[in-house]
Amino acid sequence: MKLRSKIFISILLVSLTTLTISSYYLINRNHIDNIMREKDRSLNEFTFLVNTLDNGINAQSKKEELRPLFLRYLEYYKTRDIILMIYDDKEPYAVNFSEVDLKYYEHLFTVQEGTRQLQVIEIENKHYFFVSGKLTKSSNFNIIYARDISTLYKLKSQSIYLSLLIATTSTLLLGFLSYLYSKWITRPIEMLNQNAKEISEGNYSVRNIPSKDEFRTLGNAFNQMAEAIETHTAQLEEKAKDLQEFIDNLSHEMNTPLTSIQGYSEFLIKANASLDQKQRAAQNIHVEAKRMKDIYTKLIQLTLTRVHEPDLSTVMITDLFHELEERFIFQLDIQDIFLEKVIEIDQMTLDYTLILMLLSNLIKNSIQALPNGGTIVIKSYQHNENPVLEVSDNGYGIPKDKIDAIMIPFYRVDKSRSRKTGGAGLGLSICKSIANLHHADIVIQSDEGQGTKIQIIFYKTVTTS
Amino acid sequence: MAHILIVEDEKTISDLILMNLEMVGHTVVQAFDSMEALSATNDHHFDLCLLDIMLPGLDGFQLIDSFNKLSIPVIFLTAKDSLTDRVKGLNQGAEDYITKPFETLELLARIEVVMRRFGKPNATFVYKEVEFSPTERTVRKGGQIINLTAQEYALLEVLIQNRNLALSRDKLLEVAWGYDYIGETRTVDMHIQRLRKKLDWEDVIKTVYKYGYRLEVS
Repeated sequence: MKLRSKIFISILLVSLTTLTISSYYLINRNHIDNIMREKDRSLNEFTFLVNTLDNGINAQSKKEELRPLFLRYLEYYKTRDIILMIYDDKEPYAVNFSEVDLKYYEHLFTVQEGTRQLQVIEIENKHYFFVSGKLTKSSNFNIIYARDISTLYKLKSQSIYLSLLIATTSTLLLGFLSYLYSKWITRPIEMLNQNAKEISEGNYSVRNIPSKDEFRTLGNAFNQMAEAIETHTAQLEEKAKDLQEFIDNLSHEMNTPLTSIQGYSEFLIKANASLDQKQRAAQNIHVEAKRMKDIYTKLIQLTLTRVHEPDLSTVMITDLFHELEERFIFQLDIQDIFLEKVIEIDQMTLDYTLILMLLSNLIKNSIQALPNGGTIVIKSYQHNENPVLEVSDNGYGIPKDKIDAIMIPFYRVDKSRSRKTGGAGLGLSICKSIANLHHADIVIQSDEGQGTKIQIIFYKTVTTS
Repeated sequence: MAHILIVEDEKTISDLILMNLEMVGHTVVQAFDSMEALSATNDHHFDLCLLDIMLPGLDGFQLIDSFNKLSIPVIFLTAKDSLTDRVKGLNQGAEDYITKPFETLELLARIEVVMRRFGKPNATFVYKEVEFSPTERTVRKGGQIINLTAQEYALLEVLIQNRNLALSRDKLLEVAWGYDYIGETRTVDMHIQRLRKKLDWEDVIKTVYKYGYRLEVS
């Protein structure tokens, strides 16, 4: 059952029951009060009558002489619609209404002297309040007094009828109002329901806030949830897009060496080639296989740096820079590049192997940017409390609009991915991963034609001497 | 044979295509970027261009207009294998679209198709007194016409088009007999033997051990 119907029915049920019970109680109470009042009145009148009659009777009076007296009273009460019957024992002696059947009140004759018998008797749809008693001075006479109280019963039934009418009308009115009310009170639920439906259909941006009550809190919580879902979905989509791009790039990167290897091996198998041609084909297969291995190694490194916990230790910067120089000395010599080392901080806490890998990648990039000689500076220093490692060169530089993109795996500034200027485009991605592991930021400043400066700023591992 | 321009920035792949094309008798010029490609068209007249899409400078999609203006048919040869790129390439007027990695024989066959479409069938092929004339569909030895069945002719044509390259028996069945031909590789052997006998080419059509046959031309 809907909440709205529940509210509607319970309001209706409660109000109907209260109304019925209370009006029934009131009507009944009123009716009893009225009857008691009639009782008092009748009793008073009866006593008064008996006393008057008693006063008019002498002890010596004969029965027959009493009749005119009785009849006078009977006449008087008749004008007031009150039945008065005087019985000599059980024989009617004087009555003012003759049509009342004896059987209804016969039992009232048993009344004792000095007492009164009271009873409400229904005769032919009319209610009478009967009082019986005996005259004190002539105890043979039974006096029966009956007052018509039908109006009271009529009043009661009229009241019941009226109250039923009122109950029915008010129930209808209440029903209508409670329908509107329940609709109004469940409106926020409807609204939230609608929102939930919209969200389930993928529309995360519908944000209706319900009225200012408890539902507002719920609505706010609901909106927070929707917002969180929206953000997470967006993040997931972004990640999926990045991953797809990564895979696309990877497949392209693998495709070129694979094409070569497949093509040259096919050539070796099928072609009626000269020894020189065969030599060249084998040479190219070898180069391309090495290239694939290079990409593979880089990918493994990238994966490792993404899941690896850094093995932190205190590293002497002189050692680190020295090993870097050793690594590249041959290449630096050939291209006539001067490597300058500036050490302002002696020690840092970092993962030696990973940072070596990072700096090697940066130096490799710098060497590629300096085909005709130049200077590469590697530097350790303090900046705003944070230790910084820096690699700078005075080579080609990176175009302004490309700087943001160069950290993306496989991205190369040269759109054609020509191999003349460099590897797979994974170097800086690896650097970024390594920096992330050290809670470090990589900041790139570059001017085309002027050179590139790359800073690795360490935020957490602050150890200096 | 055709004079072909290869526009491809990967040197190894460019060399691979060059070696294969020269092997079957085409002449080739290599260009490694868009500038080289454009300047090559000034110096040579090309029958066909094999064009990579991702190039330094102008890319293949931008370059193809220049080739269209010079009426040089273009075959895209690229790693971009998405349907949108394919449609884009063909819409821009390319004759064909081949994705890497590709098979040499397929590349040669598609080049053949494009050349034929442009009315440049193979020139008459002459070797060791045998004269193969595609325009007349005749084969002569020492001036005398040699009677060949249609099947023998088709087989000879495939061998000549892919000369110096080994063709497997299955490949020969597929190309010379047709894709739907269900036969045994023995059929190929029998036809080869007949060809050798009719042309007296015992030492020209070489058997490649456990693989197939190769027409060897020095």
